[in-house]
Amino acid sequence: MSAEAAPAIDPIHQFNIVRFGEPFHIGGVDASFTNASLFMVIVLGLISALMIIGTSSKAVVPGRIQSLAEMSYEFVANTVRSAAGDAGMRFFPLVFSLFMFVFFANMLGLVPYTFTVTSQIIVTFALAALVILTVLVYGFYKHGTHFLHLFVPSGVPAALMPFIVLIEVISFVSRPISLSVRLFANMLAGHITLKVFGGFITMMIGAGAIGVVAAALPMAAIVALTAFELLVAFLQAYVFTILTCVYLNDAIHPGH
Amino acid sequence: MDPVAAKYIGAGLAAIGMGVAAVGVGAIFGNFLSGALRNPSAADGQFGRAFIGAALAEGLGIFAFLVAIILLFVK
Amino acid sequence: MTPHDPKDLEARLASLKSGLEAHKATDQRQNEAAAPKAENMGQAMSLGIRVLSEFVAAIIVGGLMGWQFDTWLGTAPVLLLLFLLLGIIAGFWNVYRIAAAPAKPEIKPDSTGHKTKE
Repeated sequence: MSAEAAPAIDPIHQFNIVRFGEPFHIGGVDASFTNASLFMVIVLGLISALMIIGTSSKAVVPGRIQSLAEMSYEFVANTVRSAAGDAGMRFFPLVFSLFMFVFFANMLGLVPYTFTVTSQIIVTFALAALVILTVLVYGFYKHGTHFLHLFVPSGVPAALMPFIVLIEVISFVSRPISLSVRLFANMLAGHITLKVFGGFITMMIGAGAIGVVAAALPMAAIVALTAFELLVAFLQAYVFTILTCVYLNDAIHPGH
Repeated sequence: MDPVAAKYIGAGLAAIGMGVAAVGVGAIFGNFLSGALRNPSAADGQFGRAFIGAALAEGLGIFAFLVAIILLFVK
Repeated sequence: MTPHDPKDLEARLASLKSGLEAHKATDQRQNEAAAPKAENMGQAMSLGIRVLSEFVAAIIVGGLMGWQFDTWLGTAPVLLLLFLLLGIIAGFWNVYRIAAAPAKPEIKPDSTGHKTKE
């Protein structure tokens, strides 16, 4: 049955960006509607549907969707309060939007034939840059140059001070990079592994009767891997959110 | 020797670093397990620290991999 | 003359206990927020991934900054090596902050009104 050569396993094809419709430029930058944009719109639609329908019934004893909406609110609110205190609640809309977007985008990518928005480094970098810019702008707006005391820990001898300040600056600049690369690498690695195992299944089935039986092994592996990826989708959204809250706490209360 | 060939050989040598990193990670978890077998009740609390150590060891292996990638793909 | 009335001791013990509980509660809350205890496999793995990405990112940022300053100022690889070294130290510093974060609890007055100083 292997008349044709087995197609090469191509795990990268799922990350291709496909443009829909005509190219659309804004000031020299290609801003056309792509499959990535489509899935971002779908994510937004799902989140809005959950929150709008969830809060429309306003029952005192919540039904299912309302309790989902309330649970997600409470979960993020507890995270913000425990990491940044009550003063951090002014950032709650931003943190809630980030958490829901990352969580839903990660989850949506596990549905077959969808495109994982957060597996593009530019998307995760945009989110991380948003967080760090918020930290910087709010820190300078609220504390002025006292914000720079963030980089000067207390109790350090003056001779070491230049090095300590440089090290603190480097570790501050590394924050958005680690935020974005962590989410990107997790999503990318997960999806590439899923596609590689899928390729194994088709290769084995194409290799004859024994292959069909043996293909149950990578099938079981994909089932287990998808379960693991569900956990990773939630965990990565949670880690992104809690680190956002910790960095915002640094902007609200600078200085170690 | 042709410089491109030298680059490929260098990339192969740099990738050996990942094997050494694997030894490091295995040492960490091996020690964790032998400690956990002696004191199982305290093992769960320290499980996170085992992963922190493994991440540090793995990080250095990733740098070896990065050197190999830079040699292969950066002109 | 009894120097220590048992009821007095009881009262002091009760007040110390409630003060200690209040401290422990805030301490635990802040500790859990800043450095999540790894209770199960998923949280342990996420902690490991977080440590890995912060460590690698700090070194890469140090290297990139050093390389960029080298290109601007024209100095040979001196700045690259220096910033790479600083980036490695910053990476270990980040990991230390995650793993053994000394969360400083705010000194709040406990229920009896005593401000315990550490």
